[in-house]
Amino acid sequence: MEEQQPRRAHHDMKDAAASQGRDMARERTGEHFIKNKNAQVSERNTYGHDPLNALADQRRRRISFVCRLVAVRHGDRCVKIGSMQAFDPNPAGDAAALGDTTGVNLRRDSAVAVLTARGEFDMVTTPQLQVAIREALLEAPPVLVLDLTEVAFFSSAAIGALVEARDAAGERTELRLAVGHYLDRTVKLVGLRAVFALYPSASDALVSDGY
Amino acid sequence: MSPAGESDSAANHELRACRPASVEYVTALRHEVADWVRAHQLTGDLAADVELATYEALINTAKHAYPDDAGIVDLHAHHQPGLVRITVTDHGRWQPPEPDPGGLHGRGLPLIRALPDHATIDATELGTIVTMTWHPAPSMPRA
Repeated sequence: MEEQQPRRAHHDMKDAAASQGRDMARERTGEHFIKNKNAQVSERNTYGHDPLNALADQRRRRISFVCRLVAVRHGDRCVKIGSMQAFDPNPAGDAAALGDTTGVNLRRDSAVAVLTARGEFDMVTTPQLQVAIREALLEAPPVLVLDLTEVAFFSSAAIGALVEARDAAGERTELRLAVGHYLDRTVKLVGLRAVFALYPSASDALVSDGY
Repeated sequence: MSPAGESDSAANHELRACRPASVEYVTALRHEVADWVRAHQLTGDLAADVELATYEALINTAKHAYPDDAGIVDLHAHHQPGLVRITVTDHGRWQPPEPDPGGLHGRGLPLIRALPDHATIDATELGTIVTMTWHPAPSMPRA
């Protein structure tokens, strides 16, 4: 009988946590797992949409499993983590929301290409910027203007993409950056202000020698 | 209910969150920090710096603390007049930065050091604690 006690406590907690998790998943049109003590998925509920692919599915299981391991290690903090209250069950939704405000647009004529990037560039969205820059450089325009004046967030990964762009542009393409106050500051902080040709706007970058 | 759960306690001075250290979760957490910063009427360069420095600390954890598997990252944000303090804690081991990383890597740590007024990185066997503080001039009392 003595052995039963902790087991029941575990089940009570699991039921309460499962109910909360379901509510959260419904609210966020996410997915919700209920796990056995050994971290195997005993029940799975999907609300709003199905998982994008098996990989995402597997990844969620792995994350939940890790949470349980940490829970054991940190004693009473496990309750918060294990109940799935501590974090968003559907972070991909949040990351995908970046797509509404973040994007890149390329226009070009014979002499000049202008790539405009808007929104937030972090580890999730920077690959978009990298791909667009590579595409812009493919035809080796004499001048490539990167208009970054409407960038709202620019992490070190995105700064890295600019350095990569400069290296890829080499001697063939002259790279010019249009930056607002925000990015001008970041570029200065990482010591790259002298490395790039900086302009306050895309039109300044274009008129500087008659384009 | 706020996604941060218990973070609304203590007169909303604090934001506490514990998340899987993955790129997607870190983006979601960055948005929570940006909301918290706005809720505290922190604006301009300070607001931008707190968001960027916090993101760099979080993403360093996602990239370097748990090379083999996903781990957990803890965030604690604290604000009182004249002080903003962000603490990012992981339970893994940061890999030493490469000498000449180039490309996408290697600019996170310089930003963590340059953006706040003061930054410390304590690497121990049990994990790494990044503490970043800002000392903004207290806002003027209302007339």
